[in-house]
Amino acid sequence: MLKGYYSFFTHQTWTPSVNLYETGRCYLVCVDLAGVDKQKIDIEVVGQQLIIKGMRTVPVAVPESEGECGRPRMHVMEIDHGPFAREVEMPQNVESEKINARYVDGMLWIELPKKP
Amino acid sequence: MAEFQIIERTENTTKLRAVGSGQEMVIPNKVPILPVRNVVVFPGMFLPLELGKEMLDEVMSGDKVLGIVSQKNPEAAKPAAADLYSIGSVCVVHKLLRRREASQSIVVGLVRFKLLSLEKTEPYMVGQIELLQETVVPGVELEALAASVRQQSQRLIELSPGVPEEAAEALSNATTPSALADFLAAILPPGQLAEKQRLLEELDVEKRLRALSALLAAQLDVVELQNRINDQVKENIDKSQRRYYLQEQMKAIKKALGDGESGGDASEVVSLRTKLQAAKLPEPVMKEAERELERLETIPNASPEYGVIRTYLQILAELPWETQTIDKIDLTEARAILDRDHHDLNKVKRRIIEYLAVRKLKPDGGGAILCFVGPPGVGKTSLGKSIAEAMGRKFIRVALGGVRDEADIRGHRRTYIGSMPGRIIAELRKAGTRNPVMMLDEIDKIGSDFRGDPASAILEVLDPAQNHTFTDHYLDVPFDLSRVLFIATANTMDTVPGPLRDRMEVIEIPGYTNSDKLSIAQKYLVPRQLDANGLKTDQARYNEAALKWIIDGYTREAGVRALERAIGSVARAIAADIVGGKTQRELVTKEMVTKVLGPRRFDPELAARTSVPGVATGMAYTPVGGEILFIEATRMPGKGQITLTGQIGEVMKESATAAYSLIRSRAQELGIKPELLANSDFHIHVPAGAVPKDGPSAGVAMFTALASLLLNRPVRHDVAMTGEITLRGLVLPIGGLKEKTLAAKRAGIRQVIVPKRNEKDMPDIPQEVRDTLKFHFAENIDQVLKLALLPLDPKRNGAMKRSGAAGRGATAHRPAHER
Repeated sequence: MLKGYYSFFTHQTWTPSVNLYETGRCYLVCVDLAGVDKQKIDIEVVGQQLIIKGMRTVPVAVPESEGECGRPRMHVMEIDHGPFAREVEMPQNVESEKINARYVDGMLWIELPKKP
Repeated sequence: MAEFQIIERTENTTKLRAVGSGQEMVIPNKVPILPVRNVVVFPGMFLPLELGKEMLDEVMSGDKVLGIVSQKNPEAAKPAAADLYSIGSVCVVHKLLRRREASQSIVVGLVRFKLLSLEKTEPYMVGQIELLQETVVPGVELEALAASVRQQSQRLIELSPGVPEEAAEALSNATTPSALADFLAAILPPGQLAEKQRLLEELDVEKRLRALSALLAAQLDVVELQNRINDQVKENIDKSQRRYYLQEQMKAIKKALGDGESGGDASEVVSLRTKLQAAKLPEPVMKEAERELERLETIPNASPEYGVIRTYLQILAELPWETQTIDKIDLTEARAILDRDHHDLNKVKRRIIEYLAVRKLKPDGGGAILCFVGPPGVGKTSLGKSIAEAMGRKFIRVALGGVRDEADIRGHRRTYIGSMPGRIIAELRKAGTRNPVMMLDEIDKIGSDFRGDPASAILEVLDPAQNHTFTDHYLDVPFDLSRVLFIATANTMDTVPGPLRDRMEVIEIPGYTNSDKLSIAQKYLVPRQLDANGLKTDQARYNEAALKWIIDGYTREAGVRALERAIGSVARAIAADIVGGKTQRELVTKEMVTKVLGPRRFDPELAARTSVPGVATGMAYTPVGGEILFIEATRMPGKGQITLTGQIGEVMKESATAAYSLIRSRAQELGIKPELLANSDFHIHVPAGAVPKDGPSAGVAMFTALASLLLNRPVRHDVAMTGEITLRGLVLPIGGLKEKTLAAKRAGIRQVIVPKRNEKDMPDIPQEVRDTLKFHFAENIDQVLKLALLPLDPKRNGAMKRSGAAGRGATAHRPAHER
């Protein structure tokens, strides 16, 4: 059925990679989300699922040196762009109200306290 | 998948909003146009492309947007506007990858457009476009349709082999009916390009879905059928593969078994083939055998035919096709062997030596087939053995006595159950050579009935012109019998059919005279019996008188079998004595013989029997040798009838009638009163009443008896006569003269009257017989009467008859009154 000219069919949205940590008190999720406007990230917790959504535009090339004119030509465009979405499953229930997130060095850190 | 809605159109751009995410996009109305071949790009479809450098630069430095349309004709190299479909998809470059100095872009379709005009074609096309809006009528119908289509596609994914997992995932991501439709339209098997284009151009989502549903259904059918066929093929392949595999296993097992002991078919066939080749079969026979071997290879072990064929081939392999012994004929040695085993029989021995000499000079010659004829116990079979020994050949004996079934000679065809080859072939197989001495014993006793005529089969066997291709029914292939030396034996040639008699050279082995028997006993029988009974020569000695006593009193035969048995009985008695410790050695005397064997069984006295008129002594020839007979005639008042008794056969009865008629016709000349004849009944009796007799040679004796009766002149007691009688009174020659005269001598006769025409047979008569018997040769019955009858005794005229025995002596009684 799918044989032919196109051999892949991916989602429209791309998926960032995550790390999941656990301490005695809470879970820590680190999302690889460089170059994203913090405002444009949606975080939601449904039950044991953490859902992260957002949008990343193609990075704009701004050369440091002055005097460059015209739009830069692109030769390679590998970096995922466009809407993204990711779901992470927590081993236990968490307090959905007490989540907080920090955006440090292109990584989005989300802290989710465990439900007692 | 995003479903876009056009929210604003301006002169240069069109604004879109994604239905799900609300994301907005702005698309220029003038975009680079890329023609593609053999593919239709749908919204939501990802496609790797290689863009030309210039176009790529333009696209990447701008909004990364381009319009893709399909070529109508894939063959065209540089299409113009007319070669392109007017509706295509606006696409955006999603990724740009660099692979080995070539750039590959991944574009994704966004929304349909219509190509209004081409503004530029070099170095790449640029066109004016108008974005197209789909028509969607949301509702239950659409939902249901979408659901049904989704179901169909899921099923199709299940059934189709080799579909990547992403397909199912992507299917679930196509949430809106439009996206679903476009997804399916993109990935359904490359059908006609035109058909796909139609789907692209269909703006009504519902219609699009319906069309897709039909396509899916068709595709499902195809795939289902394919799967069914595949399953069937697989099953078939499996079945035949299984079969093949199992057969290969079987072969391997058989081979493994065959390497061991007997068991596997293959090994048996191989061993048979080796045997057959070793047997050196002639060409046509080998072909037949090869054919049978092939059959053996194909039919299963358990079938009954297998056993039949195997037996047949085994027999074929064991026949002596080429094996033969080499004749080593040394005449002196041969003579020595013959003398060693047989007493006298000089004529026979000479003939045998001549035969061997001819064989030596001409080894391949057919040679005559000898037939030894004689009474039982004279040594016919042992002569054959001696011949075989003298030639250095193997000796086989085939007893033909009582054979009635032709199949005994020729075998049964293999189609019959329990079929076997005939005697000839079977014996040859046992002998192991193709040139043995084959003795056909008792060839005169072959019967013949509805089962066939074995004698005729023997004809073929014996005929040198035919027997080199003797075909036994069982073998079905010719076998060369021409090297076999056949010797036959018989007791009499009378029952041997003419053609068979013709083929053989008859050698008569007569009986033995008493003195012969004495010598044989002394030289051969006594040593043999002593040895057989475990005695040494010094432990038992038979003196001559004792042996004569045995010969005379306890045997009445032409051969020596009974004699040997009697000697053996005596030897056993001695052995018992010796073992019992009663004695160490014994001298066998007459008294001892009487003690061991009982009273004498046979008395040679006879003269007494002819002391009254009406009795004549004849000589008969039986298969067990010669015998003397008494012919008794008696007279009683009557009308001229004649009665014949004594178990006499037809021929003898006729000769009695002839004798009677002769008497009546000669009555006048002989001096017999006619009234005597007319008023008398006659009775001729030939004792012993239990023994059957036949033959014409007693005619003379019958006549003499009647004449003696009527003339009242007894026959001389020491005279015996033989001869056939005719109505003219002539005496005709007879056969078996030697046996008859021997018998006469044994019985104590001193004179014999023999037909004149038998005079030529005199040299056959043993010397001692010729010396002791006086021979008279008669041509007519007058001579016979003159020789046989005692002169008329005056004292006897009108004599009363007295019953027989008066002891030895011619006249014992004198009647009271004399005539």
